[in-house]
Amino acid sequence: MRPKTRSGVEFPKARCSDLLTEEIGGELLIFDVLKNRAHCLNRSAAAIWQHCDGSRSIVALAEHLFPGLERAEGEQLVRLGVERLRRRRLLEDPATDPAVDLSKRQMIKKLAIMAAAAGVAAPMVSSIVAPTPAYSNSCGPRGTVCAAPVNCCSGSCIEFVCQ
Amino acid sequence: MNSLERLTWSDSLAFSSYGVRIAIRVNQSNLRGAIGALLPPGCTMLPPGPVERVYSLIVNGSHQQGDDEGFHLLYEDSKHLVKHRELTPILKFLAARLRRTVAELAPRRVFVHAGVVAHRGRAIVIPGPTMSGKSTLVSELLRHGAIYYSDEYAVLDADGMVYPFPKPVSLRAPVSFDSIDFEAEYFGASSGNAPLPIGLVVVTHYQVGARWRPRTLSHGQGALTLMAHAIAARRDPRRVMASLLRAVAGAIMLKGVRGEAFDLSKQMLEIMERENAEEQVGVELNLASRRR
Repeated sequence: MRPKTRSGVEFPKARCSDLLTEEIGGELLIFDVLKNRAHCLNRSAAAIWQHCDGSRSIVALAEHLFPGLERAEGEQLVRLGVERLRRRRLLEDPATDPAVDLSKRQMIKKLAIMAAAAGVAAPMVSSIVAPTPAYSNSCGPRGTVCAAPVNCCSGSCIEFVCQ
Repeated sequence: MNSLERLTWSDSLAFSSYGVRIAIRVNQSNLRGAIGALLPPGCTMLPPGPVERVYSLIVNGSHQQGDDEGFHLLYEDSKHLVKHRELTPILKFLAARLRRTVAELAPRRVFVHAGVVAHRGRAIVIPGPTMSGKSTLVSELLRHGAIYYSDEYAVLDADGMVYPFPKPVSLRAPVSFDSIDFEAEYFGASSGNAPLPIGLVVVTHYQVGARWRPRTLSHGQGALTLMAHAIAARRDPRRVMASLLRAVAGAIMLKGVRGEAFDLSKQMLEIMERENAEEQVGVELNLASRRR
């Protein structure tokens, strides 16, 4: 029987629309066309994202992706990955309740250490905002000290500060 | 028709740089030499025809009314960019704007805001925002024997190879925004002309008293970091991503704060020497095993 597809915290589903993806050495580079943000998912985060099809539960994902870990640890690791992906809006239903409390740094650190001991990296997502062309000029961005408008990318220098 | 089109232009020129066609027009005829000196590296002159951008320079604001009288004015297409009573700063601004336009619109190249030098047949790329110390580090690398490629843009092709963009090295005086341009020869270096693979990417900025203790970035993180400085990332993300991933595929990527550029430049070149030596050993072992 085909599993019932559900969204939300327990059955996360990867967002697929308006995203460009490229793989490099197990990592995944994702560009969000709507937000002009790029994300780098490490191997664990990439595996979680690629398997979030809305039909697998977090428990099922943990068993499938991290068979070498204790069930509870694997589940926590998937929850951590899901939450990091959710915060970057890489999952459908980004407004659902958090899968794990990311403010509990000690708990996350402990989890990462346990995972590392089993040869698994904790899921990590690094992100950047794609620059606008204005960023590129060798001229003063907003807030830099200027002597004249020509020092500023905007062409506007008021009271020695680029606007 | 905007108001600029109604003005009389005494001189104009058109050029193409990295596939981007740009025209410049001026209301005085004696500025051709000064304008010609502003053109970006790698440009060829074009006959009049369709272009992607038009820059209009009005000297002395003689065509303008009221407040603009006596100012020099610069426009990009119909958009007013900047005005100033002195011409030199306006020309400097225009030069930077031309380079930025080429970086943004180049159809077959990916421009990453970065300093670039070459050593032992590979490029060292130092991405970073304005005033992060790229040019200072580039100048130190040149003093230590590196070959100059650029202090502003790493120009990549679809295979991730780096091309030169040899504008003069712009160094700022302390506590000043004004910069002075130096040719690579001033630092005892030559300029490169061949495309090269990237050997080392260094993501850094200056911090007083800092020691260089970098961490290694993965290839994905390295590509992401370069993406943060890729000018066309929003315009053409697919092409930019593909090019960057190929560019970092064989590179070492390091990230960390730095102290003085003098110390770091030596360490960077040593890394390249070591990599080169290891590669040579690998090649020799490979040849030896083939002979057997």
